[in-house]
Amino acid sequence: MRRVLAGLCSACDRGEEMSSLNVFFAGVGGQGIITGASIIARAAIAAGVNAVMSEVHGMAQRGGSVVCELRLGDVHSPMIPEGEADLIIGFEPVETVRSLTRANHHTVVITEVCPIIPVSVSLGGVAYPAVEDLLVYLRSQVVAVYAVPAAAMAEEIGLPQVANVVLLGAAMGTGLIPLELGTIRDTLSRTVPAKALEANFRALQEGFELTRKA
Amino acid sequence: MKYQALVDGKAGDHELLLGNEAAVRGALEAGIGVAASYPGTPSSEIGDVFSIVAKASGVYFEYSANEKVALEIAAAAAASGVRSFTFMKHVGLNVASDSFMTTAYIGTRAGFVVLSADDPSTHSSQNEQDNRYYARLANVPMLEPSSPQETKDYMVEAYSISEKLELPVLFRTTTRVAHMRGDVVFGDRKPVVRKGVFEKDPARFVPVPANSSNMHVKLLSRLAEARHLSETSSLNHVVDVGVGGRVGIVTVGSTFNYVVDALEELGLSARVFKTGFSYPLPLDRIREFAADVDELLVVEELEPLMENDIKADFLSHGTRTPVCGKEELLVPRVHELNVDVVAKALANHFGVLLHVPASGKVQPWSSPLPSRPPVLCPGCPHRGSYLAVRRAIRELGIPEPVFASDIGCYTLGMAVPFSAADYLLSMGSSVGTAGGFDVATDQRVFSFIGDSTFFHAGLSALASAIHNKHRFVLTVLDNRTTAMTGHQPNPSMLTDAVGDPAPAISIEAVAKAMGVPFVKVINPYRVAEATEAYKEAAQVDGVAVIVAKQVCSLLLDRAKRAKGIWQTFQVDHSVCTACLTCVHDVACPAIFVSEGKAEINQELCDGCGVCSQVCAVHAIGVKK
Repeated sequence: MRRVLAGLCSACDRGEEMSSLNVFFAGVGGQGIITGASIIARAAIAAGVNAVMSEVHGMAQRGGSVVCELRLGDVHSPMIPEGEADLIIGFEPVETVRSLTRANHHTVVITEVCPIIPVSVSLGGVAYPAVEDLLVYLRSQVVAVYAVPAAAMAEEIGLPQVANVVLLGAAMGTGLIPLELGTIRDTLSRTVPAKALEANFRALQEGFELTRKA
Repeated sequence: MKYQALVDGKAGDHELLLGNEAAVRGALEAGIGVAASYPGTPSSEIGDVFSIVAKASGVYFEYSANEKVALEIAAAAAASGVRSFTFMKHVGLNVASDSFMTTAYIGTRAGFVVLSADDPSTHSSQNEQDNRYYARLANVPMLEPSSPQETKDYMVEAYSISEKLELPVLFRTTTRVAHMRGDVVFGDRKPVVRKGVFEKDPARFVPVPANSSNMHVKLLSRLAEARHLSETSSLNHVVDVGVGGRVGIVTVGSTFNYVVDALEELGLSARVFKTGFSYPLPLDRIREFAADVDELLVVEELEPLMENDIKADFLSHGTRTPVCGKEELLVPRVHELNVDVVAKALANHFGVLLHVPASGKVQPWSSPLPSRPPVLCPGCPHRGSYLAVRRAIRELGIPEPVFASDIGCYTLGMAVPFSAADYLLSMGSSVGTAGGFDVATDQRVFSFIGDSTFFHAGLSALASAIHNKHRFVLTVLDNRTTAMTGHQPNPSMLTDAVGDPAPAISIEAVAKAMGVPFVKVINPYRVAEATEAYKEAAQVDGVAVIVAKQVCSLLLDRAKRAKGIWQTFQVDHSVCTACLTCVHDVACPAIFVSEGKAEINQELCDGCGVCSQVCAVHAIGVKK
């Protein structure tokens, strides 16, 4: 039987039943993308929702584009078909825009606003577009775009490494992910070192508040 | 301890695991005593996990100098009655293949599993060769899982098959299985048998010509037994999608996932024959299966191997069910498949419309986006080496030098501004090909190899180059780790795979002992000194070896942060003349241009200081 996730997703009013939720993560190597996606996957499994993930461990440790695909529900392939992402979590504005090939008009997009300028730009390649233009484009294409200054918020919290958890919190705030915030907190408790737990909880909560209010 | 659950998880426990992590749990459930590997993506995490859990599990684990040695460690252990495991990336099996082929002839006593992680679409490899050929080449049985759960389960089964047949089992995964994460339900762990006894049997274990011709006869009879096991194996089974399917689809590995999802997406019914025990194929069962359907489709990634076996079998048995494969279905023979590719092929074949998202597709961003290919990290010591060699070549006026490269992070030196990778074949090829360019051209040759790669396949090539009087400058980019695959140890380091102290072999001492006339150790963070060393080395009539010794910046950064010593550099804009030499010569991800002048991203800068050394007006200094 295919598990039906509809009803669990308060924000997904599509007039069609959803048998799965596809979450696409995009960013730059070193931003904690796989860690972030794994937290949702673990939480899903703890809540009895099937989760499969696909990740490509790139050639460089840092600095290249990195994507991670997470599918919740009764699916086999961990890779999201073209145009079928329900939620895109972009850790860097250009990477968010690059990942829009995975989107349709109903896709909800969460994006970090702080750019990381690739070396190609410095070496005279294509110029880095204005972030405001990227946001205007995103808003013209999909139903909802949440611009989240996650890196700045993490800096404020005092632990830059929790920027990914701010974005997870923002993802939870949209109501699309069929899990309780408490389940994510429990998963963080099991996976994050004790001394960093408070900062992670704060990051989760602040991200959550940001999109829930929006 | 990270991965504690893999060690003491009980039957029925479950964990979210990467395919590679699941392989470790499977091996532990099978009670292996010995594991050996050389790291290679997409198999690397298997070794990373063993590094952590081997001691706590009572298993011996080592990183061998290369895949061939790793396979030999495991083969001899298995011949001694200890269940053994070796794992590598697909091209690693090329390195190990000389011994691998013979293990099929002499067979094994305890279970012996050889895992090959293939990389369709070359996410992190030089080719996308289909290692299913190796099962056919060596005449050994092969298993192919589709998910982390199956990876775990099939590992246990692989040991049982290996012992029944007294043959090694090839366990083939691909990137999308090795790097798939999913829920895995554990089984019980068999007790570890860590030591056995090697009972001599030269007629069996020494394939001199008098013995080996008989061994081939025996191997073929074992392969016939393997076929029998495959015919009755539960790893080969039928999954019905929808109801009343009149079409049969034979598929394997990750492609099974795509076929099932594509059928559901298209709303089609079909009977899917999943081959987990994929060589030898259960051709009797496939023939019976085909008798109940109108047509048989074979959907597989890369080479049409199952398709060819099935078509040949149907022909010889007069089976009339039509078989559609690569050409009939327009399934490409290159690159990995996915749900989209499979859905398109099936929609086309059945004449149904592809599912389009109800809301319609988005318009792409109107102009090209800045590209973000993998780059050398901020502070990467290779940057200093490449900068120095380029400056030395410029100052000496060497025309058209050839850069023979190798497999590692440093292959990224092929990008501008360094353009320091002109030719690459395989692990260790920088040394052999350097000799070839020297012999066949009048161009000066500069070759680059990493510390781990040097021990993997560079040593014998260096001996050959010295003896044959080749002339080139070989740089060993010694960053004190196997960086690209995730920082595994190598023979030049003071610790082994499980963190115990180990004898470190000095690369410069090895080069000197071999008789290299010029050996110099440089610190690539000191650009001027390094440049002078290259100018000297370029004058040497013979092999010159430069060991560029500086620990990988990712490891150095970790250590610096732990010690609380951290500095970054900044540009003094009152001094900067906007010449942008630092931007163009250093090409560091931390340096960017802002309002015409160089600027340093303080989050990315790791304080290596190389950029400050190329600034003619000393505008770059430590941030106060």
